[in-house]
Amino acid sequence: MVNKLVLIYFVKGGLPSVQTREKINVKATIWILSGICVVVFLCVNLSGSREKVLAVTNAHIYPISQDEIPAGILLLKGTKILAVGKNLTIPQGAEVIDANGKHVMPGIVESHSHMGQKQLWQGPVTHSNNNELSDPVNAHCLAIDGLNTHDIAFPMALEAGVTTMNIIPGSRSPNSGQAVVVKLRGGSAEELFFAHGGMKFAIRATERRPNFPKSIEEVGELLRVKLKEAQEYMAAIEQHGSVTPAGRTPARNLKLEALSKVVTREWFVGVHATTAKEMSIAMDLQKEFNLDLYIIHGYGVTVHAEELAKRSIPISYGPVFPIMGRENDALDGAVRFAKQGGRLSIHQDHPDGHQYYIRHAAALFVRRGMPVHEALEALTINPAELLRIKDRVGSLEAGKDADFLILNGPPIEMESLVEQVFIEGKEVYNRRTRHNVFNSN
Amino acid sequence: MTRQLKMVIVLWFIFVIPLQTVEARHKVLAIRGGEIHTLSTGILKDGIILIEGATIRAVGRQLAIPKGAKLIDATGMIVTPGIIDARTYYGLQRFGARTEFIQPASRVVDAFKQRENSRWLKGGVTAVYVTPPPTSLLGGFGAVVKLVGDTDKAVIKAEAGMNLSFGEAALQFPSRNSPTTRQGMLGQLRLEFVRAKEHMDQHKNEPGAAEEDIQLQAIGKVLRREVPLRAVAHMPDDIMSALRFADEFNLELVIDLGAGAHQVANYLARAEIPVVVGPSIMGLGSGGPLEMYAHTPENAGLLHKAGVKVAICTDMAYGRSVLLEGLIAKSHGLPENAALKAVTLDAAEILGVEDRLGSIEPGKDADLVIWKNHPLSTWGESQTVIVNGTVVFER
Repeated sequence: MVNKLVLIYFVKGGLPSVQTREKINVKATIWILSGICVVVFLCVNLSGSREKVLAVTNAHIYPISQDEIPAGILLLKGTKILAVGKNLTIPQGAEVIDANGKHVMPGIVESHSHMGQKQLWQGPVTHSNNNELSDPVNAHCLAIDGLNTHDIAFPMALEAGVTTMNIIPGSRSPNSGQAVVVKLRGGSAEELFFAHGGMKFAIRATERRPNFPKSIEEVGELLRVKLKEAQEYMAAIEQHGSVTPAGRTPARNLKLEALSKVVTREWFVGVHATTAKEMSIAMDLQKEFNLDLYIIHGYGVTVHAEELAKRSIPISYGPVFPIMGRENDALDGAVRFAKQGGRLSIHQDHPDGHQYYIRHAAALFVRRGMPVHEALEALTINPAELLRIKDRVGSLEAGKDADFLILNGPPIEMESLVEQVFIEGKEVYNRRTRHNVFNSN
Repeated sequence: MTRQLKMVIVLWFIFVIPLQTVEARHKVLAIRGGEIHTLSTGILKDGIILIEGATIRAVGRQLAIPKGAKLIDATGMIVTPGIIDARTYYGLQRFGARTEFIQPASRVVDAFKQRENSRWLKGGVTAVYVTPPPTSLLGGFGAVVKLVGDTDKAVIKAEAGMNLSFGEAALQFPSRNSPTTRQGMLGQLRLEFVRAKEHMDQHKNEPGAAEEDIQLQAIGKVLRREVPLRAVAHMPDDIMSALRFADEFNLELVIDLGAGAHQVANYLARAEIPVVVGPSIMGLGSGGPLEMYAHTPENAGLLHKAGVKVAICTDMAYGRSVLLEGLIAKSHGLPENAALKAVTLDAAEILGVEDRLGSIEPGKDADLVIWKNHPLSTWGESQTVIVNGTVVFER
């Protein structure tokens, strides 16, 4: 009888004729349909609660988006944070981790790294995939195409508490390509992929090649010319519907297409600039084309701190470790920049620095006068905002990804060690058991 | 004696001698009220340190402070000996320059220039070992220098160690006829040391002669255990080769850097070979040689646990100081007191300058640092740095 119903309703479509209806037992039909509904309802809800609820209790929590919670609870469900607070009700059936006073903070977001591109131990076989040098402009090249996510540096980055990382092409050419933001959840590039990492420019002229600019002024000029070409490219498409006037085959220019996205601010752009002069050139480009731009390294911030803060141009500062020590006053410019509302991110620029010490770098800023919470913001919410992934990571708030660290001491203390790392609710690193998601198959 | 002469003698006793005594009193410096980490006789709370000239005169709780002494109040602070970095390239001109595969007679003091306003000094590091670069198999003499004073005054031991590079470093810079393998390197070393021994036995009663002899004489100092061998070795096999070689010629040996030293800790402990543990960042940066694969920040802690004497170093010319390395070693298993010892007394002993540096004891050099918070903590900060009894930095 059920078959007949199915046949009539779904195959023939619509209600059966009055005669057929009389033949069908309506009461039984209603029971069966209700039964199906109940079963479906149960299935949906059961699978819903199969999403694990995890409660980390008795933890000193640094949510970043609000003040520290000395004896707090972090509730997560599946891959997301459910709630953060002091007196939360822990749902029945939840798995409870008693943190025993340990410290919990969001997973560290590192805004600048070459991990997997500059592989950690390069012999004569592999070489650096970091810098494409056949041409000064490589806007169409993608970092993800030169990325070995099985490099031994990745598990070490997890040990340091880095959960999200922007892997960015090098600085030896004025425009080296597009960066990629990854989450360190183990596997190949596709599994790690999280978001587009923006475009990379570099105000640097150290490459002695015939087709490369010879000074930083020439670099600035080259980038200006290219961005203008991108504008013209876009205008031509808008006007003619194609690049060239009607009748001629449109010539897709992948480089200009990519640069157009920078011009329209669809993509943000990171600009390598270390000295005050280089930063000046970058800032001029930002102004001329109204780019969504951030400065990388920014050691010359000492000179430009006020203007950068006023114009809301973020800085990704680093590497700090290993070069800088506890007495280095070079950090003072960055401290001043942050104090005036500038959004500072701290990066270690693997492999030139090492993110094993990214919290140590933050501590060095605090020693030069930066408040602790600002230093922690520089490791979490500031880079998240920079990379346009603030809705997903960077703080412990309801609805965001459950990416967090458990440390055996305050995160700003260099002596503290990361004991456990969770990404999207799943434990990816445990110091005690030596479990590391990059080392398991 | 004439009356005038008697007058002169009397006046001399009345004026000149007391003046001299007063002058001596002005050179006394007293530090009081701090928690003194002597490193030799434990921690002294609210102690007093008396310094006269460039030397520590006394350490204790109930000491009489001479009138006219300059007082430094260290209440609430920690006082330690000046910090020692056991392996650096500090002040070395033409860093990395190498002329010969074997150049034992070269000395770093001939290429050393004191740095002004060193950040290390401000941060509490008062003495370092300056090493020849590891690109020669036998690189020459390293020296112990203070971070204050011109070369003549700053160098406290011109020939404090003979650098030897096992492993990849020297093999990467081949000259004509230089060995291409590890056994080739050991073979060549043996040849040089045997020649040097023969030379030593032949010329026992003669002073120095031709250039070749100077190289052999240099090795002679190592053969006579006047200078220890500072052997850079990372892989366990390189470390064991160093042990074997030192045993063969009865040399005093120190393992430098030793990324994989923790893997052969028991051998090192049994042979009583100290290790100058390399910086934590070693092997983690761009293109670190494969031979450092075994490196771990737990290295110093593991070695200490096995009974090996350790010092800590930065192996750098400038940048982050050895105190940060000490902090990292401490957070990875080296107990706090052992970590402080690794940058003071144990370092001094390994460098052969423990008669002058490394602890706060009467008779030793007055190299001291007054700290806000423990030097090996995140918030440790030097407040006053004293070298040779003189305050060289005040925050």
